[in-house]
Amino acid sequence: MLPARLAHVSAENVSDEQLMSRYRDGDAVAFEALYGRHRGPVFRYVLRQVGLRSAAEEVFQEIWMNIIAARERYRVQARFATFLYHVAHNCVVDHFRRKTPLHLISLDDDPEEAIQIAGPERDQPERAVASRQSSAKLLNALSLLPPEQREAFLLHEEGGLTLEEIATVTGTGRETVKSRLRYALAKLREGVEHEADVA
Amino acid sequence: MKPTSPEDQELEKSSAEVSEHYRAAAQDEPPSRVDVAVLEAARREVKQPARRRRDWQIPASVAAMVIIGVAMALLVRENQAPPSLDVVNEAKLARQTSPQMAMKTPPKANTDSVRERPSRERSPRPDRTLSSQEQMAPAARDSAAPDNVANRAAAPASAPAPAKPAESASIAAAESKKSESVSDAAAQSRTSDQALLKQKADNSIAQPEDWLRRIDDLLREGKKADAREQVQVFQKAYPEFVLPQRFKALLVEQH
Repeated sequence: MLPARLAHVSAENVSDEQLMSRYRDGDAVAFEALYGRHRGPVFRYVLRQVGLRSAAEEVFQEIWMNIIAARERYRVQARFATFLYHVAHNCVVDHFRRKTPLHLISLDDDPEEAIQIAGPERDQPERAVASRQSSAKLLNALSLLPPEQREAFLLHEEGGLTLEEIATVTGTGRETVKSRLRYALAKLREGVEHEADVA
Repeated sequence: MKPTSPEDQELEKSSAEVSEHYRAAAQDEPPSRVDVAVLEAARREVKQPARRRRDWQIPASVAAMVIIGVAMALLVRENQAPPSLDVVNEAKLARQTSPQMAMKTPPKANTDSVRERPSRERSPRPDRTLSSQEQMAPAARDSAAPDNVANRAAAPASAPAPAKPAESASIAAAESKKSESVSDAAAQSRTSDQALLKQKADNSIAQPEDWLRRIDDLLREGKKADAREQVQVFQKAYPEFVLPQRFKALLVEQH
């Protein structure tokens, strides 16, 4: 659980860039505030892509270690969120390079963890019946998206990045990002509406 | 996301709809142990003394540049190849054995240069080294022939050499003859010439008149044998010079 002090500091009206600059200059409290602001979104960004909670925790920690290591080199050239999610994107890519693709999960994996990357509903009818709520179905639909579309959606939703910033982080063009995001939103909306109709 | 076009606005609208559902569903948070680990690492990083990683880089770069610079300078210096000791010694020897050149008597250089030319052509090496030495080390040149410095100063005041035309004509003839001779003969004659010139230099006499004056002094001192020897040497050195009667008599007396 996040310490109470973190919540207090993060409430201050200080930009991310200022906080990171303060941390670069040796203010550890500034980092705590920064971490408090971004810990949830970054974790969810990783979890939705990696699938397994244990793997997500590992990647999440790696991301922040990289941020900490880059303290001395940090210069305000763009929004901190862009920098943070750029690091996160690279860590996720590295994770997938190191590991086997997540949809090839071993049967030995914890079934509670595997729910994060559940397959199509028709393959898991019991789960579809169990989770009728639209928000849960949205997560399911999200897991079914192609990785590029899912990442574009997560960067937009969790990171709050603009199309340009997403393009920067993923190394693609703005129009490509826009297209991916449009497809992702359409599929997610379709998934939610479909569940509502069924209900 | 800031929509700038109708297309973007439409995208933003549909995004808001989905976003509402998503935020209701996605509540995952990292576990507290991960929070603790990350924050601990962040604090540790700050507490560590400033990294000295780059502190050694500047001195090391400077030292490397200095070493490379010195090495380059030494290489360049070696490549320029200063005159070796042998060459310098040869130049010194050539200077000692050719006082006419060392004396540098500019006004009457015509005769002397004509006289010296055969020797130079036969042995171009000392001449070449001499000229290079003159360019490179004037101090060494002066120290190599200290007597010549005084002679050089005295030279312009002395009288011009007599019998110039006859002398140059005979030297030119000798030159043409010598140029046709074989290398051994040339080497022999060069050795004898050098010996003669060396003797002249030993006498430290710049002009034949001075030399004759010194021979007169020997005669006055009663050193007849020495005077005769000097006359003989003088005659070899200046074969075209018309000897005064008293010196001729000296030679006749010997015979």
